[in-house]
Amino acid sequence: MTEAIRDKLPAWLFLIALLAVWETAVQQGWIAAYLLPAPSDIYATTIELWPEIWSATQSTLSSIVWGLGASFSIGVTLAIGFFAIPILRRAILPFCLFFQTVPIIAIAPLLVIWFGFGETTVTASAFIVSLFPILANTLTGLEETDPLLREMFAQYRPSKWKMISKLQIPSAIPYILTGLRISVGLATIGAIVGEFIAGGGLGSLIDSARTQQRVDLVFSGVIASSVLALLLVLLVDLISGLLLRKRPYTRSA
Amino acid sequence: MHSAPSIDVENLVKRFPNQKRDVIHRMTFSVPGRQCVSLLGPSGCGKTTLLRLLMGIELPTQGRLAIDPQLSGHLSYVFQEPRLVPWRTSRENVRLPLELSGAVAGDANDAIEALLTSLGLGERMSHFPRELSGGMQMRVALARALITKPKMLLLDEPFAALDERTRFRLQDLLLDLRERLNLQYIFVTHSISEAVYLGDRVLLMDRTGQIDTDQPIEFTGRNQSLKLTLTFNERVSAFARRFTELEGNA
Repeated sequence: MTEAIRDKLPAWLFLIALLAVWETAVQQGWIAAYLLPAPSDIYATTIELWPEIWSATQSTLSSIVWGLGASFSIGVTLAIGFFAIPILRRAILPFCLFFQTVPIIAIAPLLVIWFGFGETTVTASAFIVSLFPILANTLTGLEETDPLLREMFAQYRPSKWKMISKLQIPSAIPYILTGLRISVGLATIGAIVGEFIAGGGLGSLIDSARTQQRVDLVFSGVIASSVLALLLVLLVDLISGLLLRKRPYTRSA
Repeated sequence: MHSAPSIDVENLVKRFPNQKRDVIHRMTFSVPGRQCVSLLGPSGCGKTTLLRLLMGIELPTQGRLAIDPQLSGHLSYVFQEPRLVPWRTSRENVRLPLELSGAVAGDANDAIEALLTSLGLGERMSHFPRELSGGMQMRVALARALITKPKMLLLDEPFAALDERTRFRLQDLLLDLRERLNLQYIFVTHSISEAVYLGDRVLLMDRTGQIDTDQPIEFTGRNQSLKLTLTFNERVSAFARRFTELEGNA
């Protein structure tokens, strides 16, 4: 416990010092409040407009969950398909790189044309940016099974599907979880960007606060989206921890 | 009682692609039914390759390798490492061969538990490999090899990485299993005393991947009496001398 405190203490002290300096700088008029509002102002705004912020956060969360859910199920399924059928992989995988390289801000208007304003476009945006890490990590995990275990399995001459389901998928689980962890952050970015264009959620809240010169509200929105992403990453870590504690899905004994 | 040979190998050659030398070079030997054989040789002489050929994991480049039809399909391999699946408990690891070959019978769990108990693992059935000692892991690996009810075990230095006391216990366990389950085995080792202790017969392999034709003691057939007249230590010394000669020639 003391170890944990000693570990985290410097970060907390630094945060407190930073907020104190920031607050003082704004109060003393060294920095214009319309450019950088004081932490106390941001806090007051957050409390004041909490119902709006909370409702926007819920909307963003819903898009992230649906987008991430889609990229998880489609990413893992595609990876297994690519792994099992190499020709499929050679045919399709190069085009999946599109999902990794496309600047989401560039494609968002197209999504609006296809899906209209609202949550479908936002979810699609979250899905597009979060698909590739899950797909790529799952594929790597499937490919990098312990060769000694592979040979041990092979002596029983299992069917290809049994080999995949009993050896390759379980050994890929740590990789899938890593991919999911990366994708959680990306899905949040994708959702916020989608909301800039298609409306709704924290993205829209930040964008309209900007047009109204409400920098304090912009900060509230930014902090809410960061906290949301952070909590989602922690949730994935928690699930991974529980899963791996229940069963040690590792490379070798 | 005379019986057909379990294994009959004649002029067997194995060379891997892109290699200049045969791993196994014109090897000839046969193993009579029910005989348990130790295969002794310096590292890198092709012992493991021979086991893999017998198991069918590798195919011969040349020569004849015949396995008694009653045996084929009833061979089980025990690797040098336990090779347990880390996310499966002892019970699930032993169950694996049945799942993979689609042979999970209704009473499979009873059989698995009985087998694990007979190997002294009754208390460890729900443990994961990382929670077991090296010796226990190897016993789970033995149970996994035995659950398919093999008639012959091919063991590739299974006890080499274990401490001496554990090794002695597992050697005795293997002899006990042989009696109880009517098992035949080929046991690869580079320990001379282990080879002499576990084998009805010790086959010496030299560095060129051949069976040494100048066997110091042939325990089978006519010379069965010789085995009885020599003490364990005398037999170990005889093999040790020949083993050193072979190493020296290389």
